[in-house]
Amino acid sequence: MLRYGGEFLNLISKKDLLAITGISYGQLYRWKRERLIPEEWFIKQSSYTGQETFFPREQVLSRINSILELKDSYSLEELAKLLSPETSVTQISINALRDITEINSELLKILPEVFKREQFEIFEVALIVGLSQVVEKESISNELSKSLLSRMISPAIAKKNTNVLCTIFRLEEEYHAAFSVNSVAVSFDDDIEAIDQINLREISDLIKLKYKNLFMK
Amino acid sequence: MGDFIMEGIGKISGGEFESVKIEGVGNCSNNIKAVSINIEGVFNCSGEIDTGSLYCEGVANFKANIRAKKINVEGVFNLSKFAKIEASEIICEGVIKTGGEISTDILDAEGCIEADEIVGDKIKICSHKPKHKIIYWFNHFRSKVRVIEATSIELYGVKAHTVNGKDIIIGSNCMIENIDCSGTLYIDESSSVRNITGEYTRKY
Repeated sequence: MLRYGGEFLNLISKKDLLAITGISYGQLYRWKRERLIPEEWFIKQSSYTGQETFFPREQVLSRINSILELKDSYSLEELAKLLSPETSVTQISINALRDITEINSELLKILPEVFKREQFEIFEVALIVGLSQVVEKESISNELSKSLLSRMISPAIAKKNTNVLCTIFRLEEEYHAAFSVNSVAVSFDDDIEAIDQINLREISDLIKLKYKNLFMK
Repeated sequence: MGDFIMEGIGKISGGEFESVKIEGVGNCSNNIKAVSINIEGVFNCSGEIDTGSLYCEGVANFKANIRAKKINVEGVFNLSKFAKIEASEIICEGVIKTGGEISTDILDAEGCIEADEIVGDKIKICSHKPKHKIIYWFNHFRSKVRVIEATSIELYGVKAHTVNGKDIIIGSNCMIENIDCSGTLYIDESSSVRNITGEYTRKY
């Protein structure tokens, strides 16, 4: 864990990243140029040799695994559309969401009412999929899940990207959500029960890969 | 998309072109997107460049980022402090000077490079010792880069703070502060290297 921007992040050094994944410097920088690995993931920190570069561990390892799996099937440009938020389709319709089997059917019905629209951005789709998983795992009632989703929309939109960790917790009989950036985990006191975590980046990458046709222009 | 040719002194307002040819003195304050850009005169551009090929035989001064498939510099290429160059291939027989990053698959430089960082796949910089002694005494090392990082690196006449790579050749007249090597390493006896780290095989 290393400190960055006042927060402790689970980071991996560039050297360790190349050693673990087996990729070369050439591949790493080619993928950075093609925006497959976001520039903001290259975190520079001072070291005794001058400066060393680190990456958010889980995100970059997951991204590189995806690239290595798909690079023989897609061009770098197509991969960028699939994996990079800036180059992928930004609005998904409610009709298209019906094709995403990971979305809970009861949640799907209430989306237009709760969001007050029928077009959704990729981070919202990731949130809906993540929440669906929690709802099914915890057997949360329709009423409580609708109430939770309504409360989640504003803070999610305020963060407005997939580099966010959403922690679901229970306080008395209600479910709530806390959002943190750069996948930093939130700690609670003993009276609060943390139920689950939704990693929007991981879910977004999985959904975009599984439902490529929805996300490639 | 059409062609743009400037033969005198003039301004280009930016936009999308098939080809851009500067034979005179041209100024541009907006972004340019083109299939090819050819500079044989003097070109000053404060917008971003996005092109297939960029050929510079003259003098080009850029204030913003350049993105190209292939860059060929036989003249002088100046970029401002934070501007970066991204390309698949860069061939330089002239001078490239930037305060930012050069990121390219292949860099083949027989001229002089000054940059903050050069990163990529195959980097070769060969800066020759000037013929005239007085120039040599004022400027011992023709190329100066803070960090060079690539899969394979070959340097001659380069001063660098950090060189990280898999297969590294430090040729003649180099001055390197730190090397981290994960493959093979050769250091010419006329060069100096302060620190070496990594798991590497030394070649003599």
